[in-house]
Amino acid sequence: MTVLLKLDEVSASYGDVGVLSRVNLQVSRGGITAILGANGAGKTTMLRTIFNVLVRRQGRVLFEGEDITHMRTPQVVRLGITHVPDGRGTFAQLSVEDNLLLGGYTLGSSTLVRKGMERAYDLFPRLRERSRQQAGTLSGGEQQMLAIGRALMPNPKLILLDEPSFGLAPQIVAEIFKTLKDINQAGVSLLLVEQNAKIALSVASHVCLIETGEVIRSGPADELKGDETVRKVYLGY
Amino acid sequence: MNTLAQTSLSSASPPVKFASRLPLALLILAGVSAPFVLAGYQILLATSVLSFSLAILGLNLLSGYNGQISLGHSAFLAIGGYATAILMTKFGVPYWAAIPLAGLISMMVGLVVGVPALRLELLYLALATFALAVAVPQLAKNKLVSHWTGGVQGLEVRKPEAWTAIGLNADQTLYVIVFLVVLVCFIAADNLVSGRVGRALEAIRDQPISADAMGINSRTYKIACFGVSSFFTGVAGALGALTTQFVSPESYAFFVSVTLLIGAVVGGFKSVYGAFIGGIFVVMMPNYAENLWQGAPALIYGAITILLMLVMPEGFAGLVRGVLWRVGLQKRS
Amino acid sequence: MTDSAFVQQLITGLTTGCVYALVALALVMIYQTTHLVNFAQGEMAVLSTYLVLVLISKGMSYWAAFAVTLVVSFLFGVAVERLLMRRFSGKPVITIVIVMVGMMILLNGIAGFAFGYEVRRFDSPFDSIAWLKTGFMSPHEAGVALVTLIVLFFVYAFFKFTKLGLAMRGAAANPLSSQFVGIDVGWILALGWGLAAAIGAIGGVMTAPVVFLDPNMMLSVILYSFAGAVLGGISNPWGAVAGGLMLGVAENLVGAYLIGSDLKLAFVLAVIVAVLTLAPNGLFGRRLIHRV
Repeated sequence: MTVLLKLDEVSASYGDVGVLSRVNLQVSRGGITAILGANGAGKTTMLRTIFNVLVRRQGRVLFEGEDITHMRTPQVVRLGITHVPDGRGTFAQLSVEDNLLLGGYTLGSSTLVRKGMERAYDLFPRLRERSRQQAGTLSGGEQQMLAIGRALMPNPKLILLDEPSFGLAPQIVAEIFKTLKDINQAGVSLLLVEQNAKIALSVASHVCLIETGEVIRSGPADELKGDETVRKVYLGY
Repeated sequence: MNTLAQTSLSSASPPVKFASRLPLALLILAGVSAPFVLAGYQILLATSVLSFSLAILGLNLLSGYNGQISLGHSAFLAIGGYATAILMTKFGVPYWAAIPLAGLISMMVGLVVGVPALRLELLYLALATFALAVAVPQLAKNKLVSHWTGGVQGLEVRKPEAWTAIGLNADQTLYVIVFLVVLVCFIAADNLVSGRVGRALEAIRDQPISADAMGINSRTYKIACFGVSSFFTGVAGALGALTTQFVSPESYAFFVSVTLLIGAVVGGFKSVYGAFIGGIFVVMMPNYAENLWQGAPALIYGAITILLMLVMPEGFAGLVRGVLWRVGLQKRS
Repeated sequence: MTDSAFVQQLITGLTTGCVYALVALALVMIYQTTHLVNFAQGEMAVLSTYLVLVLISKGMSYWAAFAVTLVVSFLFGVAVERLLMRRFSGKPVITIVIVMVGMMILLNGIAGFAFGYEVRRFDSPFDSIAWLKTGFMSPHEAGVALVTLIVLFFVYAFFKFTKLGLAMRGAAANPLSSQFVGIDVGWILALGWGLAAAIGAIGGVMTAPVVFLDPNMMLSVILYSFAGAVLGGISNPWGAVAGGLMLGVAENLVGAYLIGSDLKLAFVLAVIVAVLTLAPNGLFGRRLIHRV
């Protein structure tokens, strides 16, 4: 399995407050990598360092072998990484359709844009029904679907998802994670940050455990699922 | 030029105490020697410097120490000036009573303004006070009040009688009066901000939520701050009226508000005695620049403001504080 | 007062309101992506208006000068954002307000320096256009209304149908997410400033024939535009336009029938204070949630 994304000794801080400490992480092409940890462990920060947004940091970030450490966010997006932020990050005042159009901002051709929108509507039929509606009036689950559809628009190689299960009812979470699996089967690698270890482990191929800014365990999902301490601490049984 | 350190002054080391008393000492020294060194027109300039410094002090208290902003402080200058003129010409009040009365009237207006100001976040407060500044000249000359304010022509103000008994002419007398009033005000302001009140105001400015949690009644302090600020600027307006011997709507055009703001920025917002640097700048600079080329004062004001915000946002006082800190005479605030 | 006099006041108010609407629109261009009101918008417009005059004096036709000035104003707005305002991003609001006031004074000084403080005539380009002569409006008033409609149409089309317009709407709605879809928010801000400068220039050029040109020409106009933008809702371009029109009509009617023209500025002040303290979102504005 080739390495798609690599974090190399990455430390990050907000101003003077250190959040990540010498993190090493590898995301393999084709799989679903889950980063698990409690609140404040540094999961969101990790995703932000990949995009070089809001955090100061040391270390390197490599994507497909290319050093993207100092690249500005729009460039990173054009390389093929998109983001589903925590809290969905929808453009609340704009329509569902406009949200998707914005997702396709970096696409040069309107054909690709239309194809992307069709794909989003096929994956999430509810969005098609509500295409003219203001995004902020959608339910939490629908907004999450919208955020994922938007992230898919530019045919990315890797999607980063920040706590997609947050604040959603279990059935919706299951529905969404099933769709994530489908997206992954279609060839998009996923990097998933989650507090809900159970649902994350149900889809992940690789797992990384993070605690107060440090990676404490990482490896294939089956291995960690079988590990007793992991089960006790993260799954509670 | 003013210690903002949390330790009380009595426990500070002698060099720190010296540094904090220095501005006042310099002020007294310069102020007292001025009438003997300067002559004629220059004394009037010095008098103007003093009264503008007081006006800027008022703005500093509001914006620097309490984090509210006013683009319309010329309104309080106008209130102080017109109140003085009306009290003296229509009611025969002597100048030494008119000055504090004008200050009080200005303060009351300031307290009234302070109430809705509470509800406005900074950008909107700037907008509202901008509107006030633009409206002031029209408010002063409109038909409803022109009977009192003299309308477009304004009102004349008699200069105080010379204290010939101690050998001073009229200009020098005025200077001394203004100097004494300004000195008292500055000492009062300095004491105010060095103590509990000052710290409360700054807490409200920097961490409003924590300040509330600590039991500081933010609303009262903020309104009171508006009142105190407008008191000082109102008194400055009174002194200004006595100096120019004239008040008219154009004396308080929008440009004056901006001048006060820039004076505060130059001297340093978070400073009491820095207001003097501002005062010197806004009186002396146009005096010379007007002869250079038209529009020069405005050009210089604008350029200086932008440059200062880029490189020296704390103004002159910040520069001095930085130097003192490096020399070890002042705690970093 | 007779009916026709009333209608006359209404029409005059609407056309004055057109100028306020244009400048208010310019203010919103900047506000929606930065949450800042550009205090220097009026002075920028004044300089643009002087530029038209200079170009005409060098022999250009009015509309050629107008077009060139629009482009130059746009570029100037972009330059101001990229070279100056960008350095203050993240700084406290009070600092930025001071910078904008400083810029206002600086531009005023430049106008005074370059052109002097004497009031100058500025002929309306519409007086000579025959088909604008209607019975109830002066040619200039008709021209202003027409130009305003054209500008509003272009702005509407820009926002609705172009990619950049969508990007600006996105940046206004959610700057962080805009970055995540590949929008360079910095250049979008610059675009906003450029558009604001161009639209403001149109406002200035429409004003000069009526109040005559001097460096302080826009001071009261910008105040009315502030009031209009605030009344209509400064986060909503069309709300601000509506607010500007309303202020124009109100100014005329209140001035003519209620309080007389020498208290008009007090009226504007009252509008601003009332709206900001009682209904800060204005009539059509959206709630903006400020994070702690």
